[in-house]
Amino acid sequence: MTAVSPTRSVEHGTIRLERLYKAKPQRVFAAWADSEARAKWDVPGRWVITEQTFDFREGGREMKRFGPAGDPRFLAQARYVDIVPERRIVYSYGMTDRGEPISVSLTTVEFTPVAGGTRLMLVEQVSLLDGRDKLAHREEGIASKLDKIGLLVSEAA
Amino acid sequence: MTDRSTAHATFTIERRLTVSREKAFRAYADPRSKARWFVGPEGWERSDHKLDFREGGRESVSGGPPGGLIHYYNALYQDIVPNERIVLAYEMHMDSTRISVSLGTTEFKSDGKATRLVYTEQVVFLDGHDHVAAREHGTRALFDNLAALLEHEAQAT
Repeated sequence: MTAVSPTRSVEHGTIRLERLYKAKPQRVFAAWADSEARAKWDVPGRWVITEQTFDFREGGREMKRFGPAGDPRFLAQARYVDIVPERRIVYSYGMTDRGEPISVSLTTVEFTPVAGGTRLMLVEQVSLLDGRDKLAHREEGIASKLDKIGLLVSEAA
Repeated sequence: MTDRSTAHATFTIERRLTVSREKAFRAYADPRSKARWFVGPEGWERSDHKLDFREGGRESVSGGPPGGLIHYYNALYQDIVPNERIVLAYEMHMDSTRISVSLGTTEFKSDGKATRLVYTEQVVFLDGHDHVAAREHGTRALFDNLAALLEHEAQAT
């Protein structure tokens, strides 16, 4: 028998999430820009990051290895495309699961000052590859991270 | 303060190409072949086309009408499955202004001896520059070039 090559497929989707934070845009933006702050929230739920590099600037590339405790099977590789301090971040990233591609995303994060804090709008345009992930799972993961930012920025400054 | 805004959109273009998907894929992978069809409208001036076709590799080209705005394209290859799929992220500039960032997924599907090409672009337009109808129109023109080139090559052999 010859090896069966994997069936290739692509599912496109768009995830839109919004959060209101009781902190100024400067502080919410810093949760992304500051590497110490980001290391505290940049993984869903109880998963852990085992390796992470930071290069927060237009054209900068970062990598992150993460997953459930004891099984850091996911690798994300990102490149920042557009950064407007305290207003907007646009980046693309690819993700693999044990070396197999699962998705490529284009993510836009916008920070808008509102009475009493900041409105964050996140839009992730994603190509899910070969049926290895689902849009609902991805959305759940990102939502979990945004909730962690809420806890982080509401801590006493 | 500069007005900041974003507009997200997705469009899909399908083409039937009269060559095998191996040949269609080569028109993307081979720098000399790609430079022949990945060009602006007739009469535009253009810079050298640079292509490093591998995951993590870059592509860039700029051009425009004589005396007009320079359109600058800068891409990062995110996922490549030979003869099957290419996923890239690219940004467009008009002179020094970044006008959009896109995720472009190209799928090559066998259709008898021919190839069905499915291109999906997920795009965010920045600060009110450009819009999806113009982008789709320009992208369709590129596929016209590609189809004409492949047709020409098929007749020459």
